[in-house]
Amino acid sequence: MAYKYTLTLCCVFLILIFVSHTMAHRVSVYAIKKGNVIEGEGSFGKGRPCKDCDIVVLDSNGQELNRAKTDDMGLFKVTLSPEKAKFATKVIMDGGPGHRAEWVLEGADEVYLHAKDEGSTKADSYQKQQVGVGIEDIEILRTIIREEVQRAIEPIRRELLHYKSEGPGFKEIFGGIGYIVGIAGLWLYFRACKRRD
Amino acid sequence: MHISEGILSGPVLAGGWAIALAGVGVGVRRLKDSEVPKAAVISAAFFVASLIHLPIGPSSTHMLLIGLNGLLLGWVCFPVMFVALLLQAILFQFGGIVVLGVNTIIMALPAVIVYLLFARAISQCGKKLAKVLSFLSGVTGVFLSAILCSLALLFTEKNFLKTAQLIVVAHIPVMILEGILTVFVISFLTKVKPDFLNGGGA
Repeated sequence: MAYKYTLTLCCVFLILIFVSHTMAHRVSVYAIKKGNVIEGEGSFGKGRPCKDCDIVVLDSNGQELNRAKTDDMGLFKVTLSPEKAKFATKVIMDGGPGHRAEWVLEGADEVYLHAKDEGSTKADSYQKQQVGVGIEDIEILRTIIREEVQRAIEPIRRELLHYKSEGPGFKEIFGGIGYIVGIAGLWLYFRACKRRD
Repeated sequence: MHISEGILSGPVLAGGWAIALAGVGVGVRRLKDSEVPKAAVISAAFFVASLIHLPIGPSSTHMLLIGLNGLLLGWVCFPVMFVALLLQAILFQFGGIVVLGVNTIIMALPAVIVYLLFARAISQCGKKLAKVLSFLSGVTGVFLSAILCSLALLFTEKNFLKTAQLIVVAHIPVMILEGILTVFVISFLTKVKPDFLNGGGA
């Protein structure tokens, strides 16, 4: 009897060791638009990059704009012509047969594009008030600020991605087992009720 | 072996759901009340096994326990895997709800085939042959699952042979490990709890 318990305990312990070191079998891709270059990273969960995977950039109509492959770190860079870059809305990664992930370029990236259009009118009025400051200077300054801000928030974005792509924790694992026990319990309960009737 | 959302076409997904629900129906009919706790335990094991990731080979693979499920549960593995895959889709984002039907078939159908091929032979033959057959059950389960997965992808990946080859090669370590694990679990259960191997009332 003691042998049986020891063996069961060993199995459970082994599974727990494995589980605490697992990486999710989930594909995720992240991308950011920097001017006319789209940079990003693909992974099968934290710490396991998608190597040599196909990356396709699409516009809103689903038309392919360009494609690339991820490197050994799972990183990729897709260069588009400035005209096309405006329309890039989706990045799709093919992580091998049956595995695909998407990233929609929106939020900060889109704001960045719109800011350029709206910005020129604000800059015009500013120029009218400030004699001696050329519109080109303001544009250059704006570009520098934009680049610096993007550089500064890059680590935060990456951290968010890693947080998002982190494998399931104990909460999800034991939650799932709990659901299974619950379903079995409910099943037996209703069967027992039926039998009593 | 979980196919992600957004890959398969509508007819494949709908067909997948239809066959999977039929399989679940057959499984539920064959599920005896006394077998429910056993089915739940195996469902939980299957649910957790997908987290045991194997860092071997070119792609991302994990344990599946298909052969073992088949030998222990028979047809009942359809509802058992359906529930576990549903929870995996919701809690781990493995696969997805829309592809749940196809994913259930990919894993449960090979398990049923393993059951039909090996279960009776294992319970009747000698110890040594039972070990060999258990190993083959583990290997066959994963192999058939890889073939089914390639079939499901036939309409999107076009080149069936190449896709099948890629998936099968990526799963060779899983096949070997599942074979070994099945041998250990089956011979252990034969010793301590032989009635566990009755094929889930199927």
